[in-house]
Amino acid sequence: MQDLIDTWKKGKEALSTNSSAEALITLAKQKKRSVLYAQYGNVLVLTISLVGLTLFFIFVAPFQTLLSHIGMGMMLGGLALRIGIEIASIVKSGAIQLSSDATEATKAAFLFYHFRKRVHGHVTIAIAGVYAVGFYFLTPEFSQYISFQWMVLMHLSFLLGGAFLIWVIKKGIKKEMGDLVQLTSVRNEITAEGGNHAGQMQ
Amino acid sequence: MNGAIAKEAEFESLHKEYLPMVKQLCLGYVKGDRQRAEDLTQEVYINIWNGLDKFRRDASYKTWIYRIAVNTCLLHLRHSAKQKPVSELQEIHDGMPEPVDRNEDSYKFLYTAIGELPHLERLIMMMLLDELSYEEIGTITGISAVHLRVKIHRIKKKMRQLIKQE
Repeated sequence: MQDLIDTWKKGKEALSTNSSAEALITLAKQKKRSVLYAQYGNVLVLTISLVGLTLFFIFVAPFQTLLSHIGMGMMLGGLALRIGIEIASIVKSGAIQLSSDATEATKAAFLFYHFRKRVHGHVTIAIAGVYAVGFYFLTPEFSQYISFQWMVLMHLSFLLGGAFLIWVIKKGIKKEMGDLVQLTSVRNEITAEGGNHAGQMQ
Repeated sequence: MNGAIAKEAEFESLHKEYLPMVKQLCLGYVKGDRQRAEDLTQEVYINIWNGLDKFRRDASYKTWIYRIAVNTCLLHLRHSAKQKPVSELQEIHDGMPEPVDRNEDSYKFLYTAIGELPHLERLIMMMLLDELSYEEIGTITGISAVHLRVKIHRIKKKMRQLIKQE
């Protein structure tokens, strides 16, 4: 073992270590900004959509029938729920403290990815389903005010938008589930070795 | 403003003092792959910068940095390598290209052997080589003292076999 320790020390001395702290600070600041934009950007876009849709329903297309009102509620409720999930996701990702011990940090990361897995699975499908059904509940009343061609165009754009959204979501799921698989193997390694917080995970 | 300057000075001092330790840990974690180790080291230091405001000084700088480095390595997930590569970092601040030190290759066998161990064992082995006490390793990993002793015994045995094979 002592031989290895000596070799390790020599190896450390041989490392080139002339990177710039100043450049790292600049990069850290840039990265922090981009992470914040990415996290709060989703919430912002969804919130703008929610406000825009609400204003549309109030001032542009004030629907009258009960079916339309249910449809409006479903669409707005679906969006609001999604915003809530995004905020919960930000809170959970913030719980991953890299300065805590490895058992605790990987546990927080594991819980975050599990939450994301649940969100990406049944919850996202349910929200998308509720939103789509809500949209179709509006169409009977909508068809009274706009021409057939516009109705066809509206349905086509809705379907295309939906297909794009599914593609984006699937891409995200694939990436995060790959991360979860790797994290699970790390977690298993730690919990098998009696991490101090391992019991709390089960 | 003074706080920001003090933070930068503190970071620069930590960067200077602990860079070899962090870099070597990253190098061993990625089996001696120099480019990936550079990226990982960069990620560790970005996390150090981001965590510096919250450092409560209830542990030594070394233990605190080790915790961040170990967690960054463990959570360095395959698909999430979104940070700017080192080459880009160097472009931002032209000058100071990282010279390739040929001596680093002389120790590749050691990094390769360490890389054969599972994730956490790899990190524990490197902490042992860096002569951290069992107590410090326990504080960093969160593994209880009893389990840690058993685990270290197993890791050393595995490591001896791996070195023989190399």
